[in-house]
Amino acid sequence: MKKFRTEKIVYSGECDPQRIVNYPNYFIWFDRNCQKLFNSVGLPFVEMFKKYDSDGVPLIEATSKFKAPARCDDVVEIETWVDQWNGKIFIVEHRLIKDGDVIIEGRETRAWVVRDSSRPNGIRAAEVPEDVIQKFSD
Amino acid sequence: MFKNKQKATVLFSDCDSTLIISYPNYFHWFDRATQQLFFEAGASWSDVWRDYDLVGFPLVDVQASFSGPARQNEEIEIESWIEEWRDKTFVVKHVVTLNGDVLVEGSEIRAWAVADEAAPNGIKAAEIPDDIKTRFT
Repeated sequence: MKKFRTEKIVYSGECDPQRIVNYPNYFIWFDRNCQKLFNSVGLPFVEMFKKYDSDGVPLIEATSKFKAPARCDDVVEIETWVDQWNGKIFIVEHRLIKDGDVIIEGRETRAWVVRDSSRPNGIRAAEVPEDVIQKFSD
Repeated sequence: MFKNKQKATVLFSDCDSTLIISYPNYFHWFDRATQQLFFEAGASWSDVWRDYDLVGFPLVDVQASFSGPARQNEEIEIESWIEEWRDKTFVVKHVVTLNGDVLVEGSEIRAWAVADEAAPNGIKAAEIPDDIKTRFT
C-alpha cells in the first residue's frame, strides 16, 4: 500500500495558549495529507472527481487518539495511507510522528460518492472504481 | 445534565470544493462548544485552570460520525453536555442538527491535566474534584 509522508513545522497559529496544537488542526493536517496521497498516486481530486463523475470523498467517521502533544516549532511527520478498501467506503490511516515516536493516530472513514438526482443536492455512496484502488498498490 | 446549545451559520469559507463543510471545522465547533459549556456552567476555563492549578483539558481521544453534509448558509445547532465524569478524564458529547435532523455526533475525551515536574513540559492527568462536577448537574 502506497504511503505519503509530509514533514512540517508546527506554527504558532496552530497552537492554543498552552503552546500545544489545538486539536482540530490535526484533522486539517490529516485531510490535507489524504489529498496529497491521492495527488502522489496520480489522482488529483478535481481531475479524479471529473473523470469518475464523483462528487467527492466525504467523511463517514473521523477518530483520533492523542498520546502526547505537538508543540510550537516542533518538526513533525505525517504518514498517511489507505488501510482498507471496503466497497463504497475506504479507511485512511494517519500517524503523526515526532522524533521517531508516534504521538497521534488518526483514522478517516470516507465514502466514494456520486450525485443522486432523486433529491436536491443529493449524494449517494457508490463502489470505488477498481482502477482507483489499483493506483494505491505498491 | 447541564447542556449548552449554540447555533452556527455555515459560511463560504467553511466549505470545500464539493460545496459541503470541510470536516475539521466540526472539531473546531466541538472545541469551542466545550469551552462555551464550561463558561455557561460558571466554570470558565481561565478561572478553573487558575483555581485548580491546571494546565488545561487536553484531548485523549476524539470521534465523530457524519450522517449527512451541511452546506453554505445553513444554520446548524450544536448541543453539548458532559456525558461522563471518570476519575481523571471526562467525556463531552456533541450533537449537530440541521432543521432537527442529526448530521453529526461527536465525543471528546479530555484529561484533567496538571503539570508534571518529572519531565520537561510534562503534563499528567489528575483526579477530578467533585465540586466541579456538581456545576454541571
